[in-house]
Amino acid sequence: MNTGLKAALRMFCAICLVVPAFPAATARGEEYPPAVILTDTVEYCDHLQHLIGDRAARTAEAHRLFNEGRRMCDHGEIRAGIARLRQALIMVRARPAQAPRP
Amino acid sequence: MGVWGLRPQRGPGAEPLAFSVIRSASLKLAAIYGILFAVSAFALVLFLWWTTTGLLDQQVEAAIHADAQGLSERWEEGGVPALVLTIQERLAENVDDDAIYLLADALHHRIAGNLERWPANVVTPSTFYELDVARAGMRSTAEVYRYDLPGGFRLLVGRDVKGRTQIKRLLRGTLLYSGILVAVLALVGGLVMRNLFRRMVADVSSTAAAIARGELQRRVRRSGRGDEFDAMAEAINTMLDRIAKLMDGVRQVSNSIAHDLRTPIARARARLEDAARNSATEAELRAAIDRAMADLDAVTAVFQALMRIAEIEAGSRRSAFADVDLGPLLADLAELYSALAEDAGLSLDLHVPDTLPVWADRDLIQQAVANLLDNAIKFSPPGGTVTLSAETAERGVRIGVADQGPGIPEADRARATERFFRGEQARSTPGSGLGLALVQAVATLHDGALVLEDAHPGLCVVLSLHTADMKPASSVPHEPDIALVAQDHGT
Repeated sequence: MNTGLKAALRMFCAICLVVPAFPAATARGEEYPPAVILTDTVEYCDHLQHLIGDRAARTAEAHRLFNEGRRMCDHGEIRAGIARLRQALIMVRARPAQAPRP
Repeated sequence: MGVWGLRPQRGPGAEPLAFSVIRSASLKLAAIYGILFAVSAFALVLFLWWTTTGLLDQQVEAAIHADAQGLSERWEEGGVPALVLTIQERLAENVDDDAIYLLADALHHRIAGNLERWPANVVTPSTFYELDVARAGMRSTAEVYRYDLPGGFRLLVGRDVKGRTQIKRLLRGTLLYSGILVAVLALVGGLVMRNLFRRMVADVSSTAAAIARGELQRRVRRSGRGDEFDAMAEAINTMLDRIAKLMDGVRQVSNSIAHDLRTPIARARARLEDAARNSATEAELRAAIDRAMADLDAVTAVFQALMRIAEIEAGSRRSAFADVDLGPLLADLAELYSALAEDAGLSLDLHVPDTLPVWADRDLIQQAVANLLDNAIKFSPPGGTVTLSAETAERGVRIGVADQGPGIPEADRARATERFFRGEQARSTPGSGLGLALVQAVATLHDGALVLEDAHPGLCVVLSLHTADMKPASSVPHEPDIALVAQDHGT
């Protein structure tokens, strides 16, 4: 077999060996226990509801999101509920307290 | 291995089948095709992989650094309390639900943020880490960056990259399956290429084998598609036709030599035998010997002419090429042959300019024109005129020798320059049939041309040569010729 063919075969084998290694480009902490995220909990759900408080009534949309988020948290859909509560919080913070809902 | 490696011969001296398969040109072609295809496809997919994942990584890292920049400003404004408040606000408003923060003291005690504890593997400042995190009981992946703050405080800012990880996994799967697909396509394509190659050479191989068996009339078939394979088949067939023609020529020359030399040798032998038996006097014996010697000299002359033609055709005289003025040369020849023409009752007319430079071998041109004049005088009837002319033409110089003899029928003109060819009307005239063959060889050596034309009546032979300023590349002396000349001089 000529030299060119051998070199091409070597390159092909090298690629086959290297390709499976690509996903591990960054060092991973597989041997460590996973760190727990605290903002996916019922407690954080309650915390957000507390933050929003009475201000949820400032806009209809914020009120709807607040109720929806609270209901979802109560039904165990914590992350979806938290997402709605966050949207409600952003809305009420953007709405000044001096401008009550018409 | 068989011809073109297609039919391995199995015998005591034959190679093992495995070796013959490995060394098969068609298999190599298929392998090269397959590997090139696979490497190209892999390179393309890898490029897509790197660009896509690289872009995703860059976006995450840019978001983390931008986030950290804002936190840094708050730290400078209000220290730990301001930073804690900002982290809490950002977490509360993180609609995308992907932000990760952890502010810890020097002992890694959590102060603020949404990570339960400081990850044990995050030890080096200003470094990106990929972490496994647990979110509402589900495993996910996060990319975090560690910032060290004054006072021993440490800050982790990161993003949940589960989406990115899923895209990467998807790409990885695509890469794997496309790799398998590419390998299959490369294999199939390689096999197709191999079969194509084998089919292409099979006919060439079988033709070569048939010719080796003696079937000299066999030719490579053409598909009629007009592609490269057809061009190759045509080139091979042209080569085989040329070889066949040359072989015919060699056969004909051999036959002609045998035929033309047998007669004078037999005649010389008969004369010597007759003289030996019947000569009464020494004078008769000497006369018979002289005649036999003349016959043998004619044989020798034929051999010399043949060797001269072979020498010219071999091109070994190119080193003798130089600028030659044909004007004086042709005038000298005309003067020499005018006496001969006069003896034959002919007149020799000369129409040659004073100066006519050409790039040629002087001796060969002289010999070629002498042959033409000799023929013209030989075949012209008494009282006729032989004309030697020369002129500058568009692409060189034309030397013409015209006679008023019987000429050569058009059907014979193409063969008139072959060795030993003698037309019907020349059979009664002395000669060996090598004169025009030598002129043709001289013309070919000079990249010129020899044309036989009807002179109405008679024959006009035109020898075309290149002028001195139009030297053909093949006439310029090259190294092998020079080496040969040097060798000849040295021996």
